[in-house]
Amino acid sequence: MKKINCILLIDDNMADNEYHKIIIKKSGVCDDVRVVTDGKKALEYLENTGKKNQPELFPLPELIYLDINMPGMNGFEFLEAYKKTAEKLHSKVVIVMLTTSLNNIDQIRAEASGEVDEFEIKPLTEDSLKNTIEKYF
Amino acid sequence: MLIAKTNKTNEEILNILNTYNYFLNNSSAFLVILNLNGYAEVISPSFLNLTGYTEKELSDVKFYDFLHPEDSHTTLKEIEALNPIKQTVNYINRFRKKDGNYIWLDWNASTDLVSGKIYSIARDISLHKLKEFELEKNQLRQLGLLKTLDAGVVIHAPDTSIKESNPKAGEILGLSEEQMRGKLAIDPEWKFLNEDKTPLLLINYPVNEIRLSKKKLKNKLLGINRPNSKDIIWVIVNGFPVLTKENEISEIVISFTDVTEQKKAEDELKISLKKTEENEQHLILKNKEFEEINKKLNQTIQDLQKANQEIGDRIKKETELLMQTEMLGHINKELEEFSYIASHDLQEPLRTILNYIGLLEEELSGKIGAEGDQYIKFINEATKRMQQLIKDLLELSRVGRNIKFEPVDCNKIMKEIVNDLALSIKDSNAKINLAELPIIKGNELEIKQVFQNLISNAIKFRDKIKQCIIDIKADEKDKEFVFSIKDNGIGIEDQFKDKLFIIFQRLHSTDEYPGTGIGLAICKKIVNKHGGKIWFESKPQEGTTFYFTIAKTN
Repeated sequence: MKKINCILLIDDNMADNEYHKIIIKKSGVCDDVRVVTDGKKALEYLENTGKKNQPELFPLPELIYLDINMPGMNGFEFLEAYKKTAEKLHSKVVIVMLTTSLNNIDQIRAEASGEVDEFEIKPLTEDSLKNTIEKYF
Repeated sequence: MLIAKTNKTNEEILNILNTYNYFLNNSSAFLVILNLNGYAEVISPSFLNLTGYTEKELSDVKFYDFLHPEDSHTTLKEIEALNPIKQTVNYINRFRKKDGNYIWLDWNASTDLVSGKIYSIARDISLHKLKEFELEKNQLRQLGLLKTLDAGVVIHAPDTSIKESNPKAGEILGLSEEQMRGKLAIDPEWKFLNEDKTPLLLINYPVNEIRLSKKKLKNKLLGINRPNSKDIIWVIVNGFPVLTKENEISEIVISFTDVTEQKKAEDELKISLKKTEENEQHLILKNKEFEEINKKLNQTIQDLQKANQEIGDRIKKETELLMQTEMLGHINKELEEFSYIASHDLQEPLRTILNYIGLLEEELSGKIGAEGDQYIKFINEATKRMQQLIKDLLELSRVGRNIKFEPVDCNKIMKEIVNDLALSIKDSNAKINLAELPIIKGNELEIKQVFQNLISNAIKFRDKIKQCIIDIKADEKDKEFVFSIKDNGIGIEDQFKDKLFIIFQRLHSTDEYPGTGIGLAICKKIVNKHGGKIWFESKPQEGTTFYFTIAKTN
């Protein structure tokens, strides 16, 4: 099984984040899982990854799991900001929208943004994680 | 004497005397011979008879003493003036009779120079005098009447010139009697007018009318434009002709009364009456107009009020309806939003529970004993059931969110359903009889869901001791299609009729028939959204028929 260096979880639900960390750990595809609780903090994190003096503090994620409903900056707002500020990352990072939303419109919006590679419904399962790794890495 | 002077024989003289005596005694004429002293010498018996005296009584007293005191003086003078040349003719005086009354006598007398005797013959004219007095009195009376009469009287000659007139006539005509005398009634100075104030034709002048007709004229109303005044005098004229025996007009008497004041009053009365009448007429007309207008107004007002009322009612109704609709829409929207958000948000903790129960199950399975495993299983099942309920609630809340209506071919969706349910149809050995179904207007997904839910139910609640047969057909009505899905399943007890379409209403335990009880609630909501109704007829152990209608136009 392929392994990747870092996965970033962007979600305000800490129970979900912990569960997803367990799932990722159990699947064995990645040992370094980073967590931020809203879009703004995610942007800050991504900016810090460019700074070469602290690569071990802010490793560049290869895969991002992005929730939609978050306080502060939500998933779609993050995508807008991400488009503008972090052009160099675009081709390197795979973004999966991971949400409880059963609304078709959210999926359509996600696809329309041009940044989202997959749209998945919570919870993250080992199977779906493995499929994503297979598909993109 | 004549006799003495003649050479007559005695016989001849006797004859003469006889003749004289005979004449004296038998003549009806009153013969009296007075001597120079004024005593009567000879008195005819007829005079004695007339006066009532004896011959002696008359002879012994001076004849003049019998005369009326007023007449004696003039009589004496008359006698003194007598001479053989001048005779007295028709001298009239009054003579006292024995009874004291006077009689009027008309004397002819003569005298002779020799004897100086007066030979007189009298005629009793008392009757004539009486008539004369009477006439005089009448004349006086008439004159007085004329003078004091409050009517003008004019007496015309046949040529219409005025012979006489009374003061009132002058007063009315504005002329003195003197001025009037001799004027012709047809004097152009006098303008007579008809009642309508047009000039009166000459031929119609009262005097002319009478002159021509020789008949009375009665109560002719005339206006007179007086020669010396511009005022119009109104008079009522009466008149008559005085005719001779030959039926010729000797005079024409006209009388007229001034009725100017009355006429004026009458005219004013007429004018005011006419005005009043006109006013009344006008008023009546106006009144009628007003009545008409009033009537129309009332009608209009009534119409308006009615219209107003109707509009008001309609507005009220519509407003109420709008408000209700708006409120309902609002409530509905809120409810939908609520159920959507709630179910969405409710999912989260449930999912978290499930996630961690899954982890616990993995970690602890077989380590916490059979009871522990069972507990975890119950938590798991309850949570999953909760998740299903929320999913159903979410699904129900979604109904009607999709407002796009398009033609839906029911035959096509029925084929899809049969395909989708192929496995359960095969398992249950159900037979579906499909009639030709119409193309309706609606939301395809939702319509499909109705059919699918109803068919699934028919299979699910089949009677396991007989083959499940489902008949599906549609009846076209005026404004809608009535679909029916008939099964021969276990049927529904009558007591559940009202509860069946309520959300999460279940008639059986989940062990017997799994499900949340959302299916019919969703059907009802979809059918309602399509302007239709849903109901069923059922007999336990015989089967159930579900009916639903879909309106032809939405």
